[in-house]
Amino acid sequence: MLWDGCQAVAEIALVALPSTNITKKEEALGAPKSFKPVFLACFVIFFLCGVKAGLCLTAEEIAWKVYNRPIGKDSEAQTLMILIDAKGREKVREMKIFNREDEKARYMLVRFLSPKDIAGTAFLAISYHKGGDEQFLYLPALKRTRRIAGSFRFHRFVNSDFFYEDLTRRYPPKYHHELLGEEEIQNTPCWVIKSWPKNKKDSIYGYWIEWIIKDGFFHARIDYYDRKGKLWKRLSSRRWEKIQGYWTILDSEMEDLKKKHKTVLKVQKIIYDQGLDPRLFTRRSLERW
Amino acid sequence: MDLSGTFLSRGTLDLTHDRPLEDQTSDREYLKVEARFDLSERLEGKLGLRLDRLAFYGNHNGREETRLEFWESYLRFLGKNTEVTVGNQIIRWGKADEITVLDNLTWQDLRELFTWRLEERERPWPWLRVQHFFQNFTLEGVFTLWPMWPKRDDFDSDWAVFDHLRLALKRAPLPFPLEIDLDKQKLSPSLRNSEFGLRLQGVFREVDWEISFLHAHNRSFYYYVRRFPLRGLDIEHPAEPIKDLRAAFPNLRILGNTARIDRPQDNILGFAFETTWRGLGLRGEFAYHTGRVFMKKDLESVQKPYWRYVLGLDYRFENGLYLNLQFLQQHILGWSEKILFDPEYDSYIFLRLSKGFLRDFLELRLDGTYGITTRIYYLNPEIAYKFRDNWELFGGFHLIDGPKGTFFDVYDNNDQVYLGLKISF
Repeated sequence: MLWDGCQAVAEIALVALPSTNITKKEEALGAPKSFKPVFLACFVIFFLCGVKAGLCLTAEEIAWKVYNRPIGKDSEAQTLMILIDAKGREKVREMKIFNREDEKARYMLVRFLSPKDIAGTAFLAISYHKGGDEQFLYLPALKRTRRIAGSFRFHRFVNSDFFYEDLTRRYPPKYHHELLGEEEIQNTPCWVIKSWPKNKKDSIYGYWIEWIIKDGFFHARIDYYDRKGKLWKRLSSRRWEKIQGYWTILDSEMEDLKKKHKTVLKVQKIIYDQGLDPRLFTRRSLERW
Repeated sequence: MDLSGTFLSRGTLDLTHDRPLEDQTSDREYLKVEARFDLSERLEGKLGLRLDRLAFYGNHNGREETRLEFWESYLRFLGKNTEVTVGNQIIRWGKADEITVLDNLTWQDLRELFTWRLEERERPWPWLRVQHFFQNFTLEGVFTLWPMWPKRDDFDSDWAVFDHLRLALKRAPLPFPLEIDLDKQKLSPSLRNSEFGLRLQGVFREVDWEISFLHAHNRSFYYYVRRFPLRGLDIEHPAEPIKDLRAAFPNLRILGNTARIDRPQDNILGFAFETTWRGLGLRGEFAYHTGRVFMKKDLESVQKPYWRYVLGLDYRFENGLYLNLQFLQQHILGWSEKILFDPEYDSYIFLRLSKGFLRDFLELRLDGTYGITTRIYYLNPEIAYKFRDNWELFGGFHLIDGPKGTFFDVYDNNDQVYLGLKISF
């Protein structure tokens, strides 16, 4: 519906434009007689765009909005990751996720608390606003922090259905985006956007279709397709709430549709804007275990 | 307080019973328990104990060693920009992975030589460690009164420095009886025997770098044999020393039955880096030693200036295959032909491949080392299966070979198959 609204605005503009022909003479005089129709057309366009409150966003603009979605100055979340195999058997991973943002970058630190064989493992991702990122992994058994190469993004995140790629921000200029339309998911209006990497090395997926919730710019669902165009995985947000003024996905599920297993991610507790120490997001902090 | 622990058990079986004196099976178990605690906002600590058992069984006899030792046990003061840690701790320097030339602050348990991965060989040591974190770099100092060297068995194991030589001498049909014993220098903790080092670390355009200096005792797996009691011996077949002994008999001078082992000091200057490039992880280390220990053909040792470097890369393919490749080159300054195992220039390639299946609960691994100069190789294919969280079953082979006269030739008969279980709790 809203998509139709945007198209209507464009059509009005196209109708108005032919009446804005300006002769060279008039141009030379600097005061075209047809100034009024032009002005009116522009006014109508901008007014309608304004009324629709940004509904004319392009796919790229939506991708940027998602990329820059407010997540607070910082946050600390207690999270459960539940791995469910094809027979329904469950394995649980417990972790703490810390986020922080400053004028330079967004920082995310994930520390595993259980099971014991991975407890202490920590992952630090720094995503710069101007593109580019750095990732570090601390393994307690090695007693060393390793800088992780880009190819690591294709690695499975602690036996789950998430790849490291799924946990990091996608810098919009690295991908093509196409607005497919609008749909409702769980009675919530969404934009439907298709994205695919400009360079193959930036993603293990061929493309993905994302349902972006308009009120909040976060995903309700993402369908991931492999390079052959076959549906591979589905990430579904099952419950979300506004907490301390920030939209927060509290329960989501990544399902491997080919292998029939899935991973559920549940935020048990989250606190925003408590003034986390920036030193928490350093290699010094990673190695404190 | 957070309590955790690990139990690990591994049994090995020799693949060929081709020598009269050899271990046919071995088993290793350890139980490690650790407690992490915060005493205040600025003070935290760790207390760890480890019960370790290693046993070898062979044709001739069995041998067992059980020890209870402190694992990581330290107190750490956390200042705003400074950390001070005192106690038994594992400190890793350097940026490279399995093959590292700068990771010299922990002692290594080499009683089964390299058949365990680096992280399983390393043991904590009592250090005073001070780290100061500046805006763009970190300065670190370490100091210990306790001199450190790797631990190896002297005799009576397939991996021992002198293999089964003592027993072989007893049994060998020699014209007169020969015995050999070791007199190892005992160094007490003191300023004179202390070890210390400095390291500066920083980041420059997404390249992590470090430069370091360490004054330490010999970290080589060769003993520093100052005096060997048999003169006129020239080892040409290290895997068959009795053969060389018989050949040397006409010119052999016997000065007693005790070999004197000293613990000389060494200085290590190092540089390391780590970065990423086009999906690759790139790492490198360079070390210069003022006096590294090497074994000579007369079974005495010599200290030589020495440098070596290692360059490594790793990459993870989309199909989940992980590749880690390292190249090491070393050069002995003032090399002479009397040096037993090591050529003047020596190069190695190390390869690690792994691939996960069943959501990575099942993993196939292959570690391989190839000596480009000496044409030696070591292969370690392994399969590991986490059949439930915290429970891992693993098994594989250690396959070693090398031409006559090389270090790996000594262990040529030690090919083995192994099976183990690791439980975390």
